Amino acid sequence: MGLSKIWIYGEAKDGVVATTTLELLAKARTLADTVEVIVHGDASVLATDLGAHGASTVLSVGDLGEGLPGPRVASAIAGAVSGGNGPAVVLCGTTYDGRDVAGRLSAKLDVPVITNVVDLLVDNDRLLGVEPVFGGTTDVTTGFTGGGTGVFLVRPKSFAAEDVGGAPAGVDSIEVGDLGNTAGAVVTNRFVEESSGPKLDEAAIVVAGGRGIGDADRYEMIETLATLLKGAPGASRAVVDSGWVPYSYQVGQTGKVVKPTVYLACGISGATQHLVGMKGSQNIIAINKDEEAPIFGVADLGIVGDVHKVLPKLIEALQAR
Amino acid sequence: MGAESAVLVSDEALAGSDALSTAKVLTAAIARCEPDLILTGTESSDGYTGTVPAQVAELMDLPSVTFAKEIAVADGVATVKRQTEDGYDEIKCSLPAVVSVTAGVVEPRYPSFKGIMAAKNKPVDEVDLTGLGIDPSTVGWAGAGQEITDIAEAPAREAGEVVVDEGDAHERVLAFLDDLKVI
Repeated sequence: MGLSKIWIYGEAKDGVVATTTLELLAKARTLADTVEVIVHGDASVLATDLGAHGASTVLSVGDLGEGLPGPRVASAIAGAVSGGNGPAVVLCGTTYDGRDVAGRLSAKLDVPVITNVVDLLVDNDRLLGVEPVFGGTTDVTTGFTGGGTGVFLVRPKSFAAEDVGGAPAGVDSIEVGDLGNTAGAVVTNRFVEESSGPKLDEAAIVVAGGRGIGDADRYEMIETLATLLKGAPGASRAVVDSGWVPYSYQVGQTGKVVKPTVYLACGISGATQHLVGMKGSQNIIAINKDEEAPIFGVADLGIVGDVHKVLPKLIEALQAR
Repeated sequence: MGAESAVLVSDEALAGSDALSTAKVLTAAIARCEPDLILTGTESSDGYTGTVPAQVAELMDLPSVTFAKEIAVADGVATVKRQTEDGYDEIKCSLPAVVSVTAGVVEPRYPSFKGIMAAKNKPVDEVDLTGLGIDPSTVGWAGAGQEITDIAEAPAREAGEVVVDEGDAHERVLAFLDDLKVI
């Protein structure tokens, strides 16, 4: 092992640790002697799960109230670093809050962030991040030139979470410094967009629709097919930008990374930003009118055809079973 | 489109800047304008680090709300619908603040002919790093805090079979799913 201590920004909801956090733990414990997780709220309810996945200690910045995590977590980490108790490396997931923490921490520590990381490796006691570029055709490995604490943003689904049977993590608190004007944002209400089936990033089958679907009304056949296959509906950025479905449906660079058993791409051409989000799927089926569409370059089964002809028949056949 | 004026920061020393350097330069440029609200996109489509909004907010000692899908401003407070993993949060944020928006947050207006003509007379303030009070050695390639250690071709995913639909392609899809035992 090359590194002494890694900190992970830990995310959780309703007392359940986020999968992304467990994925980071799985990798971090192979890279460093000590892995600690920094969270907000009650750390004790998370200590068992985090410990089982390899964390030695959970550090809480305390209850956020209705505030956002970014300013407080970044302040606490920066405070520890300047006090000489900081880690060699901070890992955050590429999530809504993870980016806030990493961005603010970067400014506080005056170090850039190594982003879009899909793999981590230690070379001469230095942590390096591997980032796919050009639609995943090329891997770029990057390290920090300064000697201080390094900040990495790691894409979800880069590693497999692993319960290694560790003892419950110790629980401690960590001090938050003066937040100045940064804590002026307050959550006044939370809304959950209802979806009946499995979550997009956890589903075994994802049925995704792109611009080739034609219009918002016809996106419904994607939902129908997803339901029949007990999967989750997804969408390309073009479809989300057009307002046919919410942003939470988006697969790709800006949206979710998915790695289902089967990814069924319907009317999606396969822009590089989309491929980055689904290329890791175990099996890919693509249906597209354009035989030159880049999606066929990654598909295990490619159907050159009209989604409006193929999908209704597929739906009918599944309903008949 | 409706902008009153613009600031263009242009300096050869900026080439190769990482996201933090970009944020420092933007912060210096924004500070000259003393805005109530700083609106940004979510991420660039080249570096796509998505960290600049939070970095600018931290450097300016401001609150930030990232991933906004809706925003309204009234009485010195921004009300924002912020994307979350399973929906959205409604957030109230004191101004000045940084808000990053996701695509589709608003339908851009069409520029009117009158607007296009008027735009020709709007002031564009062009400044270089010295004008912003930034030491050129702290940004660009010179100020980069990270280095590339390796560039390698990623393991390619093999393309499989491609068939043209003759009216029975759905059966191919079904057979494929059957083989995987997922249906």
